[in-house]
Amino acid sequence: MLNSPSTQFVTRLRANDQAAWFELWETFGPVLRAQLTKWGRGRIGAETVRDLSQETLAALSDSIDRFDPTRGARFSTWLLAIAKHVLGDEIDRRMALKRGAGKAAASLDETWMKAAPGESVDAAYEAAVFRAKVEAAVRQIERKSEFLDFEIFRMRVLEGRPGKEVASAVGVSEPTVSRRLAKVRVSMRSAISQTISQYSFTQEELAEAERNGLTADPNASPEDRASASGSAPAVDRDSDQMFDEALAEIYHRQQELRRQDELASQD
Amino acid sequence: MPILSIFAILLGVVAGALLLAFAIYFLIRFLGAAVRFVGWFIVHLFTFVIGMLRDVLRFVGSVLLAPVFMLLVLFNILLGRWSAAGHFGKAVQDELTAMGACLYRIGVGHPARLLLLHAVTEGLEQRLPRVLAEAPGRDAPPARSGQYDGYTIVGSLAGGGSGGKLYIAEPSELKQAAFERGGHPGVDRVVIKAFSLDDGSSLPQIVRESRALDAAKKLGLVLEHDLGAERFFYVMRYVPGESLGVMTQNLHARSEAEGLRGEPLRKGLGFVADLVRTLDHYHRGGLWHKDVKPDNIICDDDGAHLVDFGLVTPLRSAMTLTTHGTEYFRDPELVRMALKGAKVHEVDGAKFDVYAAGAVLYSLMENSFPAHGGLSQLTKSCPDAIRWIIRRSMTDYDKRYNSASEMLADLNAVIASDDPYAFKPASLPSMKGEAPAESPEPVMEELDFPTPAVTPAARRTPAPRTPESLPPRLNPSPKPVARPRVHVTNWWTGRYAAEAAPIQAAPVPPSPPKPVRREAPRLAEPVGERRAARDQLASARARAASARERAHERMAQVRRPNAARHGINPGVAVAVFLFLGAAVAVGGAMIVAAVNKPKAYVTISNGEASLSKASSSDAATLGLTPKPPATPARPQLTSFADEIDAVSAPDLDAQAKQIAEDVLRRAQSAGAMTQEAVESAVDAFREALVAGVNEAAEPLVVWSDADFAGASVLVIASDVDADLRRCLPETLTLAGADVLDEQRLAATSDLTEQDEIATVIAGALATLGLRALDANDVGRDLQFFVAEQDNVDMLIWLEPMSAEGEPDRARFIVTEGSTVLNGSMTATDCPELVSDASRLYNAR
Repeated sequence: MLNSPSTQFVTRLRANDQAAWFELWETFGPVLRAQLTKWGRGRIGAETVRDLSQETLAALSDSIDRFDPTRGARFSTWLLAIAKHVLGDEIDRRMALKRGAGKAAASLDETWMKAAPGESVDAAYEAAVFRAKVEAAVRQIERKSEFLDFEIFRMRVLEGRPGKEVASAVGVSEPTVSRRLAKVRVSMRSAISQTISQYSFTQEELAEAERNGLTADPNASPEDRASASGSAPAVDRDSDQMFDEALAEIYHRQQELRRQDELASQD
Repeated sequence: MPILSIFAILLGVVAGALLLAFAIYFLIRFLGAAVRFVGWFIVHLFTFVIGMLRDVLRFVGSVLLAPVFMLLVLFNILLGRWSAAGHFGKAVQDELTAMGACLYRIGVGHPARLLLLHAVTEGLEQRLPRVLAEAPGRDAPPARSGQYDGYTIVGSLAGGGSGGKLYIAEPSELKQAAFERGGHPGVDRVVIKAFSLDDGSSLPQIVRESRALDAAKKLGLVLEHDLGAERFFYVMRYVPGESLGVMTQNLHARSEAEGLRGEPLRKGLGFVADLVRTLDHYHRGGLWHKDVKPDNIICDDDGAHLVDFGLVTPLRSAMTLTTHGTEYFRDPELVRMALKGAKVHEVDGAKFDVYAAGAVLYSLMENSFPAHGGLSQLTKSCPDAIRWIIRRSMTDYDKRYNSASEMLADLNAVIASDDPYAFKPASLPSMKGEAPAESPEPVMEELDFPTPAVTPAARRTPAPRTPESLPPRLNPSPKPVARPRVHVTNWWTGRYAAEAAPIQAAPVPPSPPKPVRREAPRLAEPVGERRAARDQLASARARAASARERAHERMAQVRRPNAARHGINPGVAVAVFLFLGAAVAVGGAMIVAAVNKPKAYVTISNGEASLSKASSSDAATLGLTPKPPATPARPQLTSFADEIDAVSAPDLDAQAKQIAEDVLRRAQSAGAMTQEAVESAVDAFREALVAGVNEAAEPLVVWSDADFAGASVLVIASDVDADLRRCLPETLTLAGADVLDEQRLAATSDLTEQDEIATVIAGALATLGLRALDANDVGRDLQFFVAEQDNVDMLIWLEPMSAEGEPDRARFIVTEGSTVLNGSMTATDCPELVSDASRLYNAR
């Protein structure tokens, strides 16, 4: 059974909402390209990978109406299946061209898949999809937050700079830095929860955030939430620190993926 | 002692075991490495073999397929299907390219890879194609597009993605004077950007460029433009320089590995500041550049200059937002808005330029492009303030700098600081809430665009016009205009009159903080009587019809024959060329074969003995005894030329009778035939042929020269006597015979008597080793001779058998097509034979 954000997102996709499609492309494009590059193993170039990742979304667009949520497939698996199909189709087309025929096979060539390692949905791919979801949440908060707030968050959490240095750089006091940081962090927890819900079809996917240290709200009481705007209790500081570290690590891993994608683009 | 011995033995055993283990370990490691090496080598070899096989097969496939495509090209050309011919021509081109690539890989690529010489071929396979693709076009414009009046083309530049051709040109003195009058002094070189449908430009490209041209003219970026039947072009100022991309690489090469510092940093920031300043001018002029990227920024000693206004768009345009631009320097939000169908005037295009400026600043600091927009990480060392400016300019649309002037103020503050790395973001003017140093009011008088330039890799635009020359629409302080008072003078026709109201000196409202976009000043409407609505409608219709007509004419001029756009491509040219080459080759081969044709078979028979000459192949075919001719053993032959010349169609009967009488006389003297028999034969023959003659094509009757041929009678039936008369001697000559008529024979020899001539011939036969032909040989020879001669349809050979001791009998051979009849008969039956043969001929 799909959760509500997922249903809404799929509904937007089915309604051919261009912004939804662009969001999907922007969020999962690097992951798809990385996976296609891994599968291709030098058989396909960077340009082809980019084309195929776009074709993956095009194929997804064609198949979105046939999507059956009762099958219980994970979002990542669903995305991967489409990518597999597109890549298999491309390989079949190439083989057909070599044979001199013009027919492009429509079905996935499983024999080719067996020839490449990592053809199954492995943990690395799942982690990459998860990181893409978290990055989408970060991007969402970047849009929603004040520029100064998010820059403080970026410098403090994502770049790991000390509070004093951040305060000096932006010309505010350290308590102000902490307060603005906490404000963004609360929003970030909520956005991560929401984004993961949007791009998750199963309960297992929904629990990924917690497994990776990105709990939605460790202290669900209103008092604790209110305390986020002021000085946080010690227990929250630990939780926040863990959240910040987990988020920074995920963010940097995703940035590394993007850097690799960028290098591939330059090649 | 025994304990020590045992201990020593145990120690030795352990040491030996350890050594053995190490040896086995290293052996296994070595073997493993060896096996891996062998495996790698086998795979390497296999890859080479597979690659060679694949390319050989691919080459063979292309060789087989290319002619098919060529035939399709020719077939479509014959049908006048130019587009299809062009399509197949491209296919031919592709196949030829594939063949070349296969040959390269077979000859160079695969062997080099087999020998691990990848680095050697890398340049050929990667760098060379890239350099070729980036090479400028030809220096001279195509002849069909004509030249550019007033300009001398001196070079060319690599074209961008707009589809236009770029030429460097020197303006004439008259042009320079005109530029100077227009406010562009010192223009010694210009760049001509030309678009032509024949040169590959598309109509949308031309329309887009011409639309941007109007906007560029407002800023004085264009010196001249022209739209003709063949092309559309405009002229910009040219100044040499390097693109910011190249400059960025140079600056990083001069800096440390971790990033820009010191003078290179300041220089690079200065370039970006120039860019942002230029963008600010664009925005104040109501324009949006839309294609800001390092390649479009030209740097020289004077600073950086923004060029290429192919996508320049008015900020207040009512058109739908498009996603044109360059990836990585285009705001993703722009794509989102375009996908939503937003109009240009509904968004603030200046913010998209600000984003691109931030991306350019990022690329300057990172020496790379921002592949992930605002999420792109800065990995190299970068001043905090610059980092902040990059983030601020590339952040979301709503939180970005509101104008280029804000960004410029921040940049200038960093540049002006003693140490950019020590400059805190908190000290930036935008953080302190300070207004930009430059006035946000779009004061056009301050427009001072840097001098544009063009590098070998990029285009440059000219400096803007001086404020005095700016069109009134851009006048930043339009005078207030009073609204006229209107009086309707005729309610029925709608005629009205307007009274001019006194112009009031309305105070100019205070300028908004950042009025990037503003209304163009309205021109005062003419005050006075206006025409009736009906007249206006008629006038409007007439103008519309006229405009439509002009548009039709222009489109008719623009439209070229399909052949020009689609039909001719290298593939078509190659196909046609090869076809013509093949046709010439085949024709040449046929001519050569005809020239070198085996000698035609020639037989001249004199009854007793015959001379024959044929090629060896003919001899095999004809069953002749091969007798290699001795040099210079050319048979001395006689000809029927005199008799032929003596016979003409009008007096055929008389000539035939005369010849017949002559033959009769000779036959009588030779005693070969009785007089009655010969006379009877001649009469019957003549009657049969003449009676059955076709009026349009009379048969020719030729009697052979019987001076030394005994009583031989040669009858050639032909329907074109003139042709035969002309060609027979030629044919004999061509066949190698030495044609002699009586006069020549008499002139070259003293032999006049039959016996003497016969003696000579007999000697010649003996010399050549030839033998006399029997009847069958003669039949075959005649058959061959008739088949070879187009103008001879039938040949009848009558020969008295006096030599065999049967003077009353005659041998006959009738050859007609593939039919040969031979035998002997009594001489008195000869007329009947000739009559039958003639009837047979006429029946055909």
